[in-house]
Amino acid sequence: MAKEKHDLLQGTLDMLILKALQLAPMHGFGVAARIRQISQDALRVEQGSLYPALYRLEEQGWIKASWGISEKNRKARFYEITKLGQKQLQRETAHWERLSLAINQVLGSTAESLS
Amino acid sequence: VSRLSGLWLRLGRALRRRRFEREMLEELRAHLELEAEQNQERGQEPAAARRQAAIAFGHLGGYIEQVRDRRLGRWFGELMLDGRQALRFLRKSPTFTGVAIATLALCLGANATLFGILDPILLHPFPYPDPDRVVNVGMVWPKWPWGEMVQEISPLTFQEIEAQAGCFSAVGFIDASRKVDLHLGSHVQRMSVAAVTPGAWVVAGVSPTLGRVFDPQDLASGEASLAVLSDGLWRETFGSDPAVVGRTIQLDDGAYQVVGVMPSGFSLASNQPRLWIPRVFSAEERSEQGRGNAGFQAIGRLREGVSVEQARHELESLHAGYLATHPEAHEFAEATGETYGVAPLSVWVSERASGSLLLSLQVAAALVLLLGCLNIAGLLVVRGHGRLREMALRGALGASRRRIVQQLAVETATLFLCGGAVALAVAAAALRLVPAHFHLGEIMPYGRPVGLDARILWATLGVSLLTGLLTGSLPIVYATRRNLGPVLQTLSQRTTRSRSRRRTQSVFVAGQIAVSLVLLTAAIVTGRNLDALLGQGFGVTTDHRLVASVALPAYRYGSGVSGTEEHINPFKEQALERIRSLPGVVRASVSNRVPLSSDWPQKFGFGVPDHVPVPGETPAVAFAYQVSSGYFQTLGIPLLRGRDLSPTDDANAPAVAVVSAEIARQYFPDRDPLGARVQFFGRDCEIIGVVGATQNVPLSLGNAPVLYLSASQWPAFNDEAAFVMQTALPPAAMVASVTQVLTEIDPLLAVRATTLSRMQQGAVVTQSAPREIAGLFAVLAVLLTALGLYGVLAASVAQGTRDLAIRIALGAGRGSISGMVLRRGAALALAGTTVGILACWPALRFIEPLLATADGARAATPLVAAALTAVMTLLISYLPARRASRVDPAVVLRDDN
Repeated sequence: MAKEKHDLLQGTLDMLILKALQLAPMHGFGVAARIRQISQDALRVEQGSLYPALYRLEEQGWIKASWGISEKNRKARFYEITKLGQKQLQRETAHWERLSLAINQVLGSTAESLS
Repeated sequence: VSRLSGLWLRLGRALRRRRFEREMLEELRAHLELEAEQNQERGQEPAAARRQAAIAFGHLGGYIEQVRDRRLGRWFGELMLDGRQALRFLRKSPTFTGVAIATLALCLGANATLFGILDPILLHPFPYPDPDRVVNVGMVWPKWPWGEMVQEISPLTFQEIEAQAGCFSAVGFIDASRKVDLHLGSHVQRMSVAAVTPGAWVVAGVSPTLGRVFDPQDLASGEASLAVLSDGLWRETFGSDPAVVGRTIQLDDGAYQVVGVMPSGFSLASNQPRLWIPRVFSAEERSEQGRGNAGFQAIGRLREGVSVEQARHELESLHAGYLATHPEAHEFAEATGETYGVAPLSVWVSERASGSLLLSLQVAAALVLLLGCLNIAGLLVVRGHGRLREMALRGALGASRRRIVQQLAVETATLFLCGGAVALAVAAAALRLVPAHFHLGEIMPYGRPVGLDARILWATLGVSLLTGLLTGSLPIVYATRRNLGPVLQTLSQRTTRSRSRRRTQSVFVAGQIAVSLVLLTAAIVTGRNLDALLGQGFGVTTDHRLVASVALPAYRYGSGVSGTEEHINPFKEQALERIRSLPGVVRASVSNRVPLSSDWPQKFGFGVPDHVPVPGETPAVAFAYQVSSGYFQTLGIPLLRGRDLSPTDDANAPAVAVVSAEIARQYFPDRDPLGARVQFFGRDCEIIGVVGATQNVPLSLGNAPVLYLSASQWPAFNDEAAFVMQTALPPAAMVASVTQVLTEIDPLLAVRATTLSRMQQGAVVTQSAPREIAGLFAVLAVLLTALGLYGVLAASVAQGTRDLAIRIALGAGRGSISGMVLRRGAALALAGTTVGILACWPALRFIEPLLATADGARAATPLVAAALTAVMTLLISYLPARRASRVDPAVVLRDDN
């Protein structure tokens, strides 16, 4: 297993969590697993970042939590995205697209293209 | 909204920290197990799978810490921590805490008590919705002594205004002149009643807690025997029984049906009625005769958008309309400037309620609080100094300045909140005692109950926190201002003393001296005022004098000439005879009222046939007393000329009168009043004597001269029979036997017996209350100041012991050492008294109008108080000074090393 770690920018993690929850409500473990799965193991969310982020998002009112029963018949805390969270996700996605476009342009530039 | 709900969520989590963290732990564990299961699915051994999951996950507690740290709860948690630490700290120094909390309990308690009295009287006197729109409606006689004040009204005038005025949404007529007997089986309770028209309820706009109030339909159907109970009567006499509504009660000789109960704190009419009954106008009152008796109150509720000024204009034009149809009234209207007027209820109350008296007492209480805060600030500085090292250490260990300031602020706030809590207990006790002690009923005509309520609670809490933060801020600045690094080093050695701390403390102590000087001045001024007042006397001898008063209600004793002759006078004679035969009674007489009584004064006009009035002179009015012979001697009223009334001045003899000295002086300045005549109710009375002037009503109500008439020559003016006695025994010991004599004759009588000196106390309450309270405050102020001063000097001596020892060792004389300390005390006294004297003069100007006597020496009082303060300062300084001079250098310097 590659121990290569990608530190996520603060805010980026929020976005990923919101995105993961937009697909389906799930518990914390599920969120981490989903992000890892979608990114094909490239992005691993450390629990040390995940739970503080989940609580922060809940306090912002972007997600809400309730106790439920997991697929393995275990008590688990399920998170789901709120309307406000949807909006926030849209904003952050737009922002991210602008940012990554800009970064790509910078990285893709060559000496010739600037002259 | 979401931000708010997020805040709510966080606050909830902070408050239920334990539960939240337990849930979080549970969630993390669930995660851990899922992780382990997944590992297992990948083919690991269960134990290894679990271990690896745990390793990957890390320390559970660490996450909780991380989450906890960034919540709002962190701040809150710190606050709780600081609070707990503050409590621990306060417990650790019980002397400091005790002194501070006792100081606060007294200072804040005094403020809470006065606020508790002032608030219902001045700030919220009327328990009505929109009280600003409720006005008094009545007559105005600008050319009479009361000026523009709105006076009472007659039934007919009221009916005309009710029918014609458009500026009111409702008007009500209040007849508060009566008392009734409520029959309760074998005995009766005599109580104030207000007879009101249904409109009065609409004006008040308050719903009953039980049942209903009466309305015009009730009166139209002729069913006017209805009663609405006050909350007090319902609780005390009817045991809070809700079934009382619908029951029939007997008032005097009439049966009344109870229809409702009003809420606690509700009041309507100025005589603090226990119940309300409908007022129905008689045929006479609806005729032109109904215009004469202007002795009733009327209130109105202004329509939305109508100002007091507009209402006044409308009423003035109504009066003009009345004059246009009543030419015979022109002369009187011309002489008095008569018109109809309105005034906000609050004006009427604040004039009677001695508002400025209460306000000045509250100011004095605030000064006491200021002084107490200065005192505590001084103590905090001393303690802050002792803790510099602790603060420095905390700083060195990484506590931010904000954290240290917050901790200190929480400490002070905790201290003040504890003080505030004890103060509330003090206020609760004081509010039980004070109203009775100071006859609050006198100055609180609407009689709202005084007691601890939510407003006092919040006010005290707020003031505690505010003063706590203000008081704490200086010592906090002091404790955190300096660069704490060097402190750590220097504190490990013995310092000599701290100059800046001394300066801070000196300012506090000088401030205390200034404030206590002001309070001392107030105490001296009010004390001299009361002494002068009591010294000049009220025209009667109060020593060994007893008054026993009964009401002879008209429904049993009748009224008018027949009632007087058949029942009232025979009762008076019979009772007087028995009282005179009681052992311990030296002499006795009977009157229809007594001087100094707080009953609503009833003044009568009278004529002086040969008197030529000067322009602008007000008509002659007097209190009319109906007395039996021996009255003047019994009360010690000096007979200046002529003779006393005698039993032979009866119905068959010519009408006679004894006049008080003011009447003789004003109407007979250059001729002999004896043998001259005064006209009373159309009858000529020969003046047979002149007696000394007396104060007839409480000082706050003003005074009037007196006509003394023979009880057997006139029908009774009122239903009161007041027996006055000079006793050989202490008068209070005679109360029981006199009461027994009277109730033996008539078991249904309610006897009110009290000593004349007690009545005098009640009559001067507006003058004695400030004296007592100012005196109390001054004593408190002087004690606190002495404590503060002693603390500063003693601490400076204690901490400067090494300095002093060196000085003495180097040859300084003992005298010069104690001189140093004394000089320091003197400097503080000088600074404090200078500021204090400057503050005294505006303060004096503020209280001057409240005092009943003039005093030429008053302006010099601050100087007297300053001298007293200076003496006190030096006396206090003497103790530390002596200790300073006794320092033994051999001992001190050896111990040092």
